Amino acid sequence: MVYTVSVMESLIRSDLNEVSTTRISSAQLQNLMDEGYKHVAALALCVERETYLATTKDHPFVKAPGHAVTYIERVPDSDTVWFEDTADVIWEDTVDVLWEEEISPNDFSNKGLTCISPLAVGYVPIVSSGIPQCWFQWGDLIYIEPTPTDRYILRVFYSDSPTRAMSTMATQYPEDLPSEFHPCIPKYAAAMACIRLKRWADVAKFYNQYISLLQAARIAYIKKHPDARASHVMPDEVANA
Amino acid sequence: MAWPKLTASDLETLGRFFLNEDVAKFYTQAEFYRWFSVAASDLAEKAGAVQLVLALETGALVRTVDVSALKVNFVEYVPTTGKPIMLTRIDPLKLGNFPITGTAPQYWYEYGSSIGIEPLPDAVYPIRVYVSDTAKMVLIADADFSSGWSGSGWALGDTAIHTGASSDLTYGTTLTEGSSYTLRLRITGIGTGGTVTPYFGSARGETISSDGYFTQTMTALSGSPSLILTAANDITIEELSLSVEVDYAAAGDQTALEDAWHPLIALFSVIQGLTKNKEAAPVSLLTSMYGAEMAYTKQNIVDIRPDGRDDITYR
Repeated sequence: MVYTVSVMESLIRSDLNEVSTTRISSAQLQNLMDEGYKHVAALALCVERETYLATTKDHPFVKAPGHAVTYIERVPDSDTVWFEDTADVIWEDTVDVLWEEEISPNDFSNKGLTCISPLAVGYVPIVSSGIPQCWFQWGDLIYIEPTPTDRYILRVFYSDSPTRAMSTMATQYPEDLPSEFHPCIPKYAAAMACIRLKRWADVAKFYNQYISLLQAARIAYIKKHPDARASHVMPDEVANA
Repeated sequence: MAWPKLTASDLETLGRFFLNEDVAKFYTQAEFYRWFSVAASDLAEKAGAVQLVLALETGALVRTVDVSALKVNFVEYVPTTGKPIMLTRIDPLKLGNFPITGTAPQYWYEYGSSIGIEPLPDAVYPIRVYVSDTAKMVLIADADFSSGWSGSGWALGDTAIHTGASSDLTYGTTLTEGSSYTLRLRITGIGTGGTVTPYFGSARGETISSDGYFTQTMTALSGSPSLILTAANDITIEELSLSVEVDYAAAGDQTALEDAWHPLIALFSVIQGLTKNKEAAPVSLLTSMYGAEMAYTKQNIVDIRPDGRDDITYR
């Protein structure tokens, strides 16, 4: 089923047994649905996006996009990386110009960076001096350890807010949310509408339904469950059969 | 409604919808604004929702460094050469009792509105302080320097570019004396000898002399103080944001809290409204929803869950 605004309004009015727009107008329900759209994204971290960011030479911080950064990969950018020339007499040689260099993947491979506690800064064994290895997020900044000694490209995986309200879209559809989260929106809106109607038992009921749907979808679709190496191994009983 | 962050007007519309009073009668606008301010403070205090990194310096032969924030979480020593290192948190009892190597900062403690550094700094050392701060109100989300700013020696547009001899970039709107401000700058294109120093009236911030992101919190001093950025040589201000510690007072006011927290501000106002209306049972219900959502959102976007070594091991 496609959860357009009009479909969701029907579902909510049916849940509430509130066909009339006298006590709650369509515009008010649409506001609640838009709030639900954002609320689901914030609680489930389900608007998953990726972007490329560049580190600043000799500075540990990169601006974090969205609600929360989930993973970071150090990227040679299709085996190409940019180097900023330095004030010496050897290299390309114009200071502050970015030079695009073809490199071998073996020289500078992709790597998922490890999220660390801030307390580990300065104590992490550094494999290659100055090349990003670990990170943590503090507010809207990402700290890179060790402090990059050049400009490096990072592929940042993050969760975000929806780009715009459903009410401003031609499709009137929560297009930024994965479809498995769409049923959460009318339950959230129903719970919130019941606050206005002072139907307190229904507030609790719809809110619980909302959280149950949201948590189940988050566990099934958003949480990552990597397979272990052992999962490819034949169990002893089968191998010996 | 604004998207995704909500203004005071949006929050009031939501709060009035929930309380079934679309036009002010029993609940005044002033009450709503007060509740929004209390909610923003509550989220900042209980969830640590505002995380900042302050660039500060120790004083030579001075034990303490003043820190204007709710709570100091971590302190990092940033040597001029060599790698930065997080210092170990102690309490004042440990002073002189813990092993010390050299004279650079190694331990820190928080007491009152300052932090103490051990060993006693023998010189000025740069440090970064990771704090949880109060929820301030956005004054400038992302500066457009082409209007409201002035300065000779500056090329003003989306960015502010300074070249040549020392000169000031002045923000045209006067600051409020005694108010606490948070200034965030992104600096690029620092040339030889390039520096920029912010002033909030007569209050002087830390001088910035490298590229990157820098945050400073300051209380504006002297009558009718101005925000002035004094720069020397080549420097570009790529981004600038400014927020101030004030309560909600106008329809367009917007807290600097991340948008994920905004629904809780509206919900908090509903709890307060129902409290005023003596509706104890629903207050209890909504308070537990508010607390649970705060904890959940904190887990999602504030808490740091480090990976284990096992997470990157193929086994």
